[in-house]
Amino acid sequence: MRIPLAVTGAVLLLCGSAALAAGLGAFDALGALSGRPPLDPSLVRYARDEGWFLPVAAGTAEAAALAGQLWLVLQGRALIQRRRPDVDPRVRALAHVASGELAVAAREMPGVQDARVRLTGSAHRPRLRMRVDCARDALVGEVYGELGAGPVERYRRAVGMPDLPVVIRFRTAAARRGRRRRPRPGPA
Amino acid sequence: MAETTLVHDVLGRDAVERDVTEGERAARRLAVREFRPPRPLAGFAAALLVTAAGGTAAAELLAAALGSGVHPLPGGAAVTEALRHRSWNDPAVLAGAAAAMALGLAFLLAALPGRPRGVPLDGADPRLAGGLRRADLRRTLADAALAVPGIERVRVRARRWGRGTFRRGLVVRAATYYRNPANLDDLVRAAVDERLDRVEPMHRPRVDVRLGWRKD
Repeated sequence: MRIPLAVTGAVLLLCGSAALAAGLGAFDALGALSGRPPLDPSLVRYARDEGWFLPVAAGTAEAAALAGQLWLVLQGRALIQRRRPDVDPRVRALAHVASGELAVAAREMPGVQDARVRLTGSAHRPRLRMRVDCARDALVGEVYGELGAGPVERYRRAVGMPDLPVVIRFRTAAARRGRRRRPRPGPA
Repeated sequence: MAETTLVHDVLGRDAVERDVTEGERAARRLAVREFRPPRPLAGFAAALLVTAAGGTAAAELLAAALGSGVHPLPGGAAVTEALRHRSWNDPAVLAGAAAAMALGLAFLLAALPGRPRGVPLDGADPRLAGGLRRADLRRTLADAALAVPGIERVRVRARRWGRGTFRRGLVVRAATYYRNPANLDDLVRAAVDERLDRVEPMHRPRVDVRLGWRKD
């Protein structure tokens, strides 16, 4: 979704800077443009005289509006699919069971305090998202490696998606403040 | 025979190494993609703007093309009149142009990849991406430094200048109540390194330890 955003930004930037330049007199060499209105009578006359101009402009605007609507729908669908995967009911049921097993397996690992699992995306672009809460001194790298090698692989087999991309976000437990009390000398 | 075995050994090892490297590269790509900030608000605003502007313009232009003198949208007549009578150097037109330029710049900046939302973890599986939040990494490193006897205060920060957030390194500021710190900075560095070994980030940050001690 970054390319349409960049294109929209570039078009706005280009139009805005051109209009600003016209208003500040940068194009006055072409005939005192800064003093003319944006809807110049010559432009209105041209649009009236050339029969193709208005329909083509209206068609272009309509195409832009349709593209914008499609973009909105795609974003909305992606948002919904983060909550509820767009897969068939059988896979959803399998994923539900396998998610529970994966979360239990993750919680049994050393240093892991909690784990949440969610299958997201569509049948064509599924994603398994995990959140793993660890102790402050947990072997995060080791937990990551073990999760990928064992429980996650079992999950992939259970739901029948051998190439399922898995994203694991680790969190460490809220720490004591970065300060420690200095030891007091004991009673003599 | 021995030569053939040697060649096979070498080719096999090369192939394995190549697979590992490609796996690492693919894992890195997946991690970068997944931990990139999604910026949904900017996308939603831009889509809404394109839809509204396109729809409004299409309705007005279609009405004009059909020769209707009626403006189908409320306020259309006022805007058309303003565009007919105000010039390009009118303050309102200039302000509108500047606003469009600023919005366009904001959308362009939002479309840039941006700083990843987490520190990706090292791995060679192209189907697996893991990450730890920046604040969590700083917190866990501070915790490791605080475990060194004699250290009473620790603050971990990213270095102010450089490329990326964690590639540019970390500054660990530790304070001890000892008057003679001896090799405490080495101990703190070792503790932080050991904790980084436990976390295994994809890009290991360079750690700079700065130690303060009592001078009274």
